[in-house]
Amino acid sequence: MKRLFFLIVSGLIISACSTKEPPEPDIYSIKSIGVLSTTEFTVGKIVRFDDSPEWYKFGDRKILIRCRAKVKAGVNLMDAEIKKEENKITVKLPAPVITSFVIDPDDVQTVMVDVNGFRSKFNQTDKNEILKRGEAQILQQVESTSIYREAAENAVAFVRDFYREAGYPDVEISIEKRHEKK
Amino acid sequence: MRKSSIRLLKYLLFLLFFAVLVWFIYRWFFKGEEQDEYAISRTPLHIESIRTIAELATVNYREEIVMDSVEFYQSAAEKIAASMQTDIDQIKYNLSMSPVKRRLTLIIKGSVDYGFDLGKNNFKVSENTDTIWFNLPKPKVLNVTINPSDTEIFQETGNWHDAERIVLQRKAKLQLIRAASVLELDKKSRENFEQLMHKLVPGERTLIFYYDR
Repeated sequence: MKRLFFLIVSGLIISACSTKEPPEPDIYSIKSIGVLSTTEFTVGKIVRFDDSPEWYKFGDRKILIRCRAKVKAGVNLMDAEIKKEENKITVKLPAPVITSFVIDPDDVQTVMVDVNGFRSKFNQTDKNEILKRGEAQILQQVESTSIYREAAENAVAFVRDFYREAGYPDVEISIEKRHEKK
Repeated sequence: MRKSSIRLLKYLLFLLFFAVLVWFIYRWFFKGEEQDEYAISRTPLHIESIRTIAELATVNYREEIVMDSVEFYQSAAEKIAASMQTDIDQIKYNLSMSPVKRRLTLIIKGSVDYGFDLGKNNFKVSENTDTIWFNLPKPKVLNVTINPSDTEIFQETGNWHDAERIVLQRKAKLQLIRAASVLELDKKSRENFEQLMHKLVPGERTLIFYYDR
């Protein structure tokens, strides 16, 4: 009886100490933003899924899906810091971010499917799950391209032209580097 | 006779217990963490094009859309013929008396970015000592996002081709664009642009905005 009591109390203490954060609520609304996209990369990928069979599964399942994504990057002008000293304007832009990532359904194509043995066919649920992994991989690989550098250069050029046309020839623009972002 | 049967049962139970034990030991040592059922191979990324753009999104609208496509059996004979098929994934549906032949239901968490395309020389700024004029294009839909990660296949009965799923996704996209129009996001987009310009242009000068019709 004492042991049981001890076990229950320990269980309660352990569960109370866990730091599980509550899930983020899904809120569907209209949001005010001020995002300037300055570069667009169109990237393609062959998503390859080869279901390596366990010893108790007989047969293979292989699929190749070709997909294309349009990735835009730029800066959030809402976070820009602007200072005016007499006729000089100093602008500090935030670090560039991915502003839009779109895989259009029309740009997704199943190239090859091979299912044999006792394995079940690929249905739309399977394909969507595979594409989710493909999407995550594209996002990860895009990070290592020149997208942020291009976005930063174009954003600085756009903002400089904007202030010059607005009658502020003396503009100093800096942009936060990505590793500086917390 | 009875004794030997009990002994046999005991042996069988012991063998079963032993097999389960071996299975757990195998899982513990050789499987490690739970594997991702849909883990894909790493393949290269091809950069097809790089474009310099100037798009200012001032409104973001998110919505959850349900797209449902359903097909019923035309006759009892068709239902009986379908229940004869041996596709292991479909047997559970064939056992029911439901008249539904095929059903595909998608839940899509889509989003629309609304704003201004400031490239293509359609954005002009002019000024004098006390006023700045902005000539802007009409606000428009810049991005409609319904990615695989935003899509949940809630129900799938029967065989569905990619083209049929794409039709549903296209409809969801159109629904999002229509909703953006009904909600007058163009008006909201202009208001947000003006607020943003007041933040970006410090000083006392008056800002005047002209939009293309």
